[in-house]
Amino acid sequence: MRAARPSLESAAMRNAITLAAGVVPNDGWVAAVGVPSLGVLAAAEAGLALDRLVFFAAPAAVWGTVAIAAVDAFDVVVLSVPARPRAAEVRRLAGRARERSNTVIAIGPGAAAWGGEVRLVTSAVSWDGLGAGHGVLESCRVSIEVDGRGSVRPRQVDLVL
Amino acid sequence: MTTPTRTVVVWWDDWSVVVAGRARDPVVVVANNKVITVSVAAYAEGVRVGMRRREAQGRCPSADVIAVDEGADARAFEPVVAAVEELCPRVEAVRPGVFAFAARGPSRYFGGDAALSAQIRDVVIDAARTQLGVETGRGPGVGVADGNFAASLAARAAYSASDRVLVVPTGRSAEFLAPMPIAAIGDAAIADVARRLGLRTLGAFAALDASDVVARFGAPGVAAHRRANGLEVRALAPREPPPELAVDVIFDPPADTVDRVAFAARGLASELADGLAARGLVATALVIEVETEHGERRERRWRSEGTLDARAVAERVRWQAEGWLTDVAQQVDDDEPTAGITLLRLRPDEVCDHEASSRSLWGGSTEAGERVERAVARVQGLLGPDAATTAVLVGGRGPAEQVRMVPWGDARSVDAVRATAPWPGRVPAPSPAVVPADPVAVDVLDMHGAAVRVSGRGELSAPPMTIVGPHGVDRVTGWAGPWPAEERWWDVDGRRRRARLQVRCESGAAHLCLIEGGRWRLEASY
Repeated sequence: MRAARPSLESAAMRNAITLAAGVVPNDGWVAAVGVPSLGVLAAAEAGLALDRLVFFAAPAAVWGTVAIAAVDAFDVVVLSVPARPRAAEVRRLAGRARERSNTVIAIGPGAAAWGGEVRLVTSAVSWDGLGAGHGVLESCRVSIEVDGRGSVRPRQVDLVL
Repeated sequence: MTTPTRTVVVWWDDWSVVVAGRARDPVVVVANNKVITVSVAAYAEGVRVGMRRREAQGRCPSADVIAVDEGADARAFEPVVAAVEELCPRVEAVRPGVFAFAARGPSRYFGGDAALSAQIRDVVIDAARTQLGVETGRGPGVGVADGNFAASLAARAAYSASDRVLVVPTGRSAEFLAPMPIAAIGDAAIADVARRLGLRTLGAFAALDASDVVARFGAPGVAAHRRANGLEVRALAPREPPPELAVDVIFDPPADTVDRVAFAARGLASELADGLAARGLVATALVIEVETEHGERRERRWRSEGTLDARAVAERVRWQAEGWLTDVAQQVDDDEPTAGITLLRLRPDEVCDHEASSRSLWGGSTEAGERVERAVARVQGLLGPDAATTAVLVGGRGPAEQVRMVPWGDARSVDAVRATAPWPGRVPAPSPAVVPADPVAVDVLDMHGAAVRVSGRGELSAPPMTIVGPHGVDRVTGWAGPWPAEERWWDVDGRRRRARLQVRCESGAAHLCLIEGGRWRLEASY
């Protein structure tokens, strides 16, 4: 999960939250690794249960260890990948995630290095509901470029969040 | 049949209020929106324990509502228990404000139950007064009866006696209990069913046949039935716990903060619970023991009305550590050596068979939950308790203010009133997806390139045109607000005037900008 431009990073985060809320099973657990800025209110509004959403600190030195612990135990992991992750660590994590068949949503500067099944790049965002001095942000339309392995066919999808 | 131990219970029901230094005022202490302690003045206005907060405020509008602070209550209580322990051995703390001990020896020494009770009452009030230095109000009630349950009820009933002491003669506990309302049984589920069956007093419940009770209510019913009959519940299966169940942890370097002890206690408490569970036991009384680097040993027995699970144990260790460590800190003033804690040991003092109600059977813990628990323990072990947190919504205006991060394992307690109260000036949903911990400074400029300001009346000096921030210059294509937030305007030092502005930019980004003291920051992004 990536943003095409830095200014769209918050939109990519919104996509990640929405996706996590969509795929987490009932009574499932969600971990947010290295993303202290994830909007808790937005997560609650998306339908995530806050008592089963655990935030992990992940300093660079132990990022791999924390990530493995989270991937081992949680149904969905929103994982911030540092700019230059060690390739071996990423492979090990991806392997573990496949083995446990849970969902890892990689975000952050190194998300491109994550060889996930599906790549989602947020390429455009537009917000509705706001005028010049009136209204309030209501809904946003995002364009996401989808690409991936195997049967995933490259395409662009527009969503209203 | 074993006769129950003659027991003294000291029950200080408005302890939290006394600790807060408000014994004379109408004060209501709430937890989770329910009243848990009422001051004498508020009680006179008709406020009762268990009421909803709103109802309590309706009965007594002048009452101050304060949130419970169990840490402070326990910290202040420790020296009180210690003072009593100088007179009587084996004092058991039940919770802050309540403790119990066996009457037999001390009673003979002081010349009877009544004399002992009066003596203890005075010692407790004295200790509380010197410790807290505040008005102690009417003080505790002291009850003496056969068995812990009857003595507890006697202590509460003692408040209606002029000397706050109630002694139930030996062998008369069942008689004393009979007219008590069924709600006093100490098990809400059983009380509820019994009431609907038309059993309105403990006596009516006690008169049931024991085999009928076990058929209808199972093991908890048997315990309740024995209590109602004035018998010792624990006589069911009193066991000497095997010594190898004790667990300990050594601190090197010595722990001198409550947090460190409390954190270690969590792991230790689950270790203890695992050890007990493996033998099908639960603890009903527990000794918390510490050693300091100067070789002092201190211990305190804690008794639970129910059973002590890992969380309850960890909580009690925390309370205890607060009491002991503040004690140590006070000694510094007296030029005495300070000492950190070098050893913490938890020793089950009384165990009984685990009833058929296994936790997972009732949905208490699941396999997935245990996996998560282990993962969290690993990360917290590596990086400290703050490395794994969950969020609690606490109410407020800005997106960051509304959230409090709680380390995993700590109580996710919420002031429900604050969380659900209306917050004028709160920006409506949808909420921002990114809320940085340290918002970056930005410039919000009008068409002339001058900084946009917000007047005291909450009006913008000019429509915003551009935002200059970390991603460069972005043109504003839409905006709303400002939402002014004037907080604590009555408080000269604490007041803050802020305003928030929602903006949408050409790049597609949307932000929540916050102005305070003439400076804009990017508080959050949508």
